[in-house]
Amino acid sequence: MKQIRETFYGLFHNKVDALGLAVFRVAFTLVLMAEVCQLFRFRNMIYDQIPFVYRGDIDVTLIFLFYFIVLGMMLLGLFTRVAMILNYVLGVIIFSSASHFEYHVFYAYLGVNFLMMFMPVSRVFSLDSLIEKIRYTHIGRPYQPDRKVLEINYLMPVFLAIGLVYFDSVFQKVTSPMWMDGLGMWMPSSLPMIVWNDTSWILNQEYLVKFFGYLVVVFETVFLFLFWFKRFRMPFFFLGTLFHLGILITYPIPWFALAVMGVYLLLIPPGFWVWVSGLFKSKSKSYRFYYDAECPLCNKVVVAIRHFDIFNKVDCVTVQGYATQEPALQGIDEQELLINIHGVAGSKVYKGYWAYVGLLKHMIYTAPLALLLAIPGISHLGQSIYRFVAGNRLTERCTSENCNIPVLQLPPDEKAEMLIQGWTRLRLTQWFWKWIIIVMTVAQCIIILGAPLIQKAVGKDTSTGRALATVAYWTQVPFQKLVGVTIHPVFMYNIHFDNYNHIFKFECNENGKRVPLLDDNGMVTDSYANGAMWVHYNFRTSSHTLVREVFEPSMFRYLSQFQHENNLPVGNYTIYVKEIETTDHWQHDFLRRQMAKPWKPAGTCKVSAGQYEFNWTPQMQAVFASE
Amino acid sequence: MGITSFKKQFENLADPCGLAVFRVLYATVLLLEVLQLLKFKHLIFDRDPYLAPGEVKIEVIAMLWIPALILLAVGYQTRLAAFVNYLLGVIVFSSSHRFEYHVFYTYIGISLLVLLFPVSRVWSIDSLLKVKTRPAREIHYLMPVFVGVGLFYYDSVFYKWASPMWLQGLGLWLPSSFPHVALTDLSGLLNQKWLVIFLSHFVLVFETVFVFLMWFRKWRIPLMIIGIGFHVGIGIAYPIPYFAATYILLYLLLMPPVVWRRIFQPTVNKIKPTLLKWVKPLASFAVAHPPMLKSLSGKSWMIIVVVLLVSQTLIIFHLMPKPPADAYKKLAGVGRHSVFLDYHFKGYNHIIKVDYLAPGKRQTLPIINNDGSPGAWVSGITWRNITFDVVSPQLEEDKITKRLTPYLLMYLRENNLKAGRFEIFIKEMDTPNGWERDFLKRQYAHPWTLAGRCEVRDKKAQYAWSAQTLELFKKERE
Repeated sequence: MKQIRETFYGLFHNKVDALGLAVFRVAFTLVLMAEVCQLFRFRNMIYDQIPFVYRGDIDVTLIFLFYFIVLGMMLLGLFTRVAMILNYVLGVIIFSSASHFEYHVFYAYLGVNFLMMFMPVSRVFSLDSLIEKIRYTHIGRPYQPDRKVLEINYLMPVFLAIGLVYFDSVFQKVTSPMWMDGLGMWMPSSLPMIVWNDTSWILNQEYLVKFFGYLVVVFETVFLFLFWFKRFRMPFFFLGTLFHLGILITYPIPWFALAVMGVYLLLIPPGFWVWVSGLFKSKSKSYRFYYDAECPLCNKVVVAIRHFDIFNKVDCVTVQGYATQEPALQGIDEQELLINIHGVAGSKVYKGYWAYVGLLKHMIYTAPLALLLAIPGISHLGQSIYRFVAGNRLTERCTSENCNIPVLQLPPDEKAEMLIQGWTRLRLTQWFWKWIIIVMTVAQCIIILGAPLIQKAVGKDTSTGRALATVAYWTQVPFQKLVGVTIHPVFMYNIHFDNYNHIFKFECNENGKRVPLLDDNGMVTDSYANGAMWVHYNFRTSSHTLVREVFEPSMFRYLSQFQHENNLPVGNYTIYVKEIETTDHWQHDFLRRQMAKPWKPAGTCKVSAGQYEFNWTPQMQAVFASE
Repeated sequence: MGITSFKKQFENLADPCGLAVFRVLYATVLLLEVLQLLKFKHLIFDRDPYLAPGEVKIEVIAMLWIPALILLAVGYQTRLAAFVNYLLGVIVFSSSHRFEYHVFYTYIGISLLVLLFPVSRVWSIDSLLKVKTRPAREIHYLMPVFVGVGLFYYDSVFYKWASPMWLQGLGLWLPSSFPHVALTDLSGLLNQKWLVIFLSHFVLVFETVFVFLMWFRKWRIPLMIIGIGFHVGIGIAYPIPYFAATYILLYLLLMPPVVWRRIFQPTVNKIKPTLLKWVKPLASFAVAHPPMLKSLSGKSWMIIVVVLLVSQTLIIFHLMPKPPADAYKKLAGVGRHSVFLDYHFKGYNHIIKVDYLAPGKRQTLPIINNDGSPGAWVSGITWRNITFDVVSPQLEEDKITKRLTPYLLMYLRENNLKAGRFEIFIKEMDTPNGWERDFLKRQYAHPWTLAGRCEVRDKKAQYAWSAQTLELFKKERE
């Protein structure tokens, strides 16, 4: 008990380096960007009232336009707080609104977006930190932002986007015979329309896949309780990353797998990232940059150089302190050195504009920019700009009037009291995170009251059961939409796979191409059905219960996308059906047998000018009627 | 007034009270508009009304927008709230298509200025948390009027001076004489031929000179009184209350700000100590401030005004390429404004009403009333949709069946009905050839003819038109 108390006390009081949060910011933003790009590519198919014919009264292009700008700012760490708030706003609009094309990672995005508004994700490795350094650096007083953040910042996204998700999901899984028989991994991976890679070599190892099936359930059960403790974090990181690497290989939901792997990165000890960044730092500097110590502009420029010099190749030194010791600068008058910036690499001296070109060359990753700036024309323009700035810069020579009275400005201290006694930014942060954990946990527990396990225990049709389900539902509505706390019935046999016996292939008569949904094996390779579309196609278009009124209008959207990409105003299609099996028992080579099943003609279809017409064979009509 | 003194007035300091009043009232009007969008959300945003929701939902947007508008009104985290409001405003108003009406672009332009201007320097929670308040500038009052009213009129007169309706002095009389447009029967006024013709010409002259005179202090009060008068009239005459309210608010910016201080400062002084006690803890949560427009010089403001005027001129004469013109309209709300022109009414000689048939009685849907006037549902966005998209100068069967059905479904939903039978009636109207006495009253008196029936079951509508109506559709097509 004491250990638990100490662990939690440490989380809210220990300070660790912020670099890991910056790595997380970049990784998560890249995944979010990929998701948004995918939604943008298919925007007409997903959002139009009639795809490519009438978009309706919301133009999502505007939303995505803003979103791309905001994501760019998040990536660079520029005006991060505002960008994070806008990211949250836009994320809620896109992800919480989604119904037909919604999938489970959307809730992880919502939760993490919510938390990132409050996390110090741009304390380092960001343009914001550069702006802060420039703002608060004064002549002779370089400023370094506080790199240390509370440890709890690292664990909050893990808690919300993984811990609570697993906790809820266990309540779903224990009522699922598929998961309880150890087939939670094998079954979904054994259906061709669910996977984009044939992993039969592993699926055929009965005991191994069952072991993994059980391991997932145990892992998800204990995760929420143990990840707070340091000793469990690395094992959990490896196990979680391994599982999601498996998901990435098997299922066409790459952004889900990568987003969760991005969150798992936060379990790595922050010191690791500092060590990695140290690996990039060169032991010997190859370029010395001489600047005027009494020039405010030069001091700010040096701050910027040090910020961007990630390989530690540049040594910024003052003319006043070091120029006399530099053999390469012997013979150059000090006044000249003060007027013009000089750079020295070995015995080679760069002056003025060329000192900056040399600097970029030696910073390694900026070398292409140095080459660009050296091109005649660009270099002439650059030199003019340099001359203008150098000629008009202010210098603050040290005199008896100003040397002793520096006007210093520093950012607010997180331990300084704010208006009310005892209220400090640090205390508020600790208080805020504690309450977030409490509120989210309580909300998730209330939502779980509606889970099958609880409902079965109290009786679904009893007044207690109904009351619990109602409370769970009304708690879920706002928490799901605003912070992504919800139910997670992912890969449940009875909901997703039971009696899923028909899958379809569409071939266009005009150009002979297969509509990129399912391939000849029935698998989701090179398919529109990726990410949100994979869920929509497999479970809301073609599903375990075929409903013609659902299938046809949903399919029309994919066919409209195909025609748009292939420049076809009218499209006639031949539809094929493959009858597959589903099973709740492990079988050797089950996936390959499904892949080998033949395609049979199922009907035809015509799409033009926002209209569609399906003609099904009598056999298929009978299938629709029976389902 | 020389250029120098004209330029100098952009630098004049002004009491920020008027901007605070504007902030509160503008946020309130926007809030009402958002509530209106929410009320009709299934009609506007559903992929298939009441059957399949759209993939972007206004209720989700409103979950963020309404709090942002409340924060804007009370002036807490004002810059951030204004930023969110602008962003959501662009997303919703600039996207709008079948439910768009002309005030949407004014909202975008004004929301942008509210974001950039110091609207919470006084009478806001933000100002209570600050030690010192700074004054605003006169230009902060004038720019919203210039963008929202001045450029709007400047654009609109290019249409109106080419419009026979306006040149004949019927710009006020004609729209107010159609029952489906007139919210109130103003026959008493409309029958005063010379008065309505005079008022129409007066509007034309007023709109023409407005953008040039608003800069002169001596003209501001007369312009404000006239403008408010007109827009009170619009609020009474037409079912576009939020448009009228927005313009009245903009005109109020022409009022000397000190008036607001005299009216409200005593009350503010009374409640300030109590408020301060409550809001003090909020100071801890000051988190984000979007970059703000720095104080510009008089010369810079003059350049901005000229650039806006020139760009509006380029748009009017189609000299601006489409992509930047579209972006300008979507992001700043500056574009063309074809409001109440001849083509809106030319050939508009049929209106439609729908009766729900309940056992033993019938009820008229609140779209068009029995006399032909706009029903209770018809206001702003829905007025535009019913008047120009469902019914339009040319009656089209396809349009009516597709676009009327959502209203029928809404009626059933509001009355907790799963299915229902409706009768659709058409009223034929006259086409005026000039001013006519009692024209509106005559249109009210025209009879309704049964045009068809509609049965709604399982959220699907089945229409059966009479032979006479089908013939009419055919004739209208030709």
